[in-house]
Amino acid sequence: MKKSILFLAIFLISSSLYAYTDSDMDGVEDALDKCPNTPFTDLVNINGCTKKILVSPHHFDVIVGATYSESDYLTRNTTNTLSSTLQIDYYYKNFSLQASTSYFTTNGDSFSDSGLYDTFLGAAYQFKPLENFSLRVGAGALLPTYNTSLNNNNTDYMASLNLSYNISKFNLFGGYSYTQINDDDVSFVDANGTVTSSTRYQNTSAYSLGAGYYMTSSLYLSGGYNSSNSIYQSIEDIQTASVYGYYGINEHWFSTCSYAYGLSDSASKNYVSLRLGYFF
Amino acid sequence: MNARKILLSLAVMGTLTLGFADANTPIQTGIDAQITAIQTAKPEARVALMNQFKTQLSNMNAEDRSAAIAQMQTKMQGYMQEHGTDVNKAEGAMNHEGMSKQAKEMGEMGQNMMQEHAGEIQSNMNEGMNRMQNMNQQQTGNHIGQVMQEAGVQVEHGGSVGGQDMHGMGQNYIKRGQ
Repeated sequence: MKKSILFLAIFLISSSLYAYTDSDMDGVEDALDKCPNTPFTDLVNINGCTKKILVSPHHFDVIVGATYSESDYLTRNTTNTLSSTLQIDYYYKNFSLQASTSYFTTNGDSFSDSGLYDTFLGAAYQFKPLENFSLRVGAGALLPTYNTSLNNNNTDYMASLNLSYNISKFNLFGGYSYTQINDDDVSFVDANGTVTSSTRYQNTSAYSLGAGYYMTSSLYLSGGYNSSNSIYQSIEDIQTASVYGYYGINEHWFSTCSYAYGLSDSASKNYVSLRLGYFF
Repeated sequence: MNARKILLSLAVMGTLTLGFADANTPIQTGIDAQITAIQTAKPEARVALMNQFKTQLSNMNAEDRSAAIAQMQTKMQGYMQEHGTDVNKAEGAMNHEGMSKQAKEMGEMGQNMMQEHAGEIQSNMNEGMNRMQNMNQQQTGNHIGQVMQEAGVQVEHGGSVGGQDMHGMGQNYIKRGQ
């Protein structure tokens, strides 16, 4: 009987000795942890402070894709443009850099052309003031790689702000971007010196808003509305209704698709984009 | 004789079944042992074991990692409850949830990161589409410019044209056909 009580006492004492509270699960008891709330992805020293980070903060993705747009302007009738696109992103924590370009082939009743479209270089920073709310601020330059005979080969500059708010599996998003168009105005003068027509460029403001839903942990679908000024003065705003899908194939591969329908006469009638990306 | 054969068959079947069952759960068995070792180790050794465990998690594929994390959480919660620690207390619960999220990010792209990535790409796509729409219009303007130059009309560049927008690339041109 005495032996049993002794064993029970030893057991209880040893249990309480081994019992500890370790909120950040780094192996260091909270009472002794000099760096509480260490990320679980960090290896720590005896004081509970980070000595090595297991997850690299540097990431890249490479995205290739194809877009198709069908324009039906009065001057050209139906014109089909097929573009192959390349986008490369670099991510460092909340910061990202982006480079994207595309090669187009246009075919229409009276017009065909091919070549590079303008190339975009940009940077963005994402803030998360709340757990479910993020703000993405971006800036970029549109390099004049599109070869045009109108001498509008100047670099344009863009600034953007995007908002995203998650409610359970729903996502509400909105975005605004402003582009400073630096192209020169153009006038067409006949042999008598009379201006027969003129083209004046303007800076553009674009905004988008919409809602999305995370169908599964790897599938996201959304629908939205987009509106942008035309780069030409006197042209009505480009308005589209669009749907977007993102599918994470595995830890590295993902694909996206989007479709936009032109709501205004100034927009491409149909726009489709399919892309495949690799994240590492 | 028959009884011997039956017993032998049962023994072989049992061995195979147990063998396969064991072969299907080496990770779980290993995780269990590791967590027990962490729970009972002295403080210095515990940190080293925990670091070792985290490194092991980071080298697993997504599926194994997810299973290991779930197993670890269950075992740790059971252990804490056994020792009178309330795991549902705000601080503990928050940290365990956060820890689980972070651990999933040990892969190249965990669920949390995937959602953020989907949003990031969505913003890119919207901005890219706007650029593409404007490029299509610019291309149309370029086309009209070419047509006019071919017709012998001189093109002048620079500054503001001054005069009002006439028939050039005005609304009559960049407008969808009927």
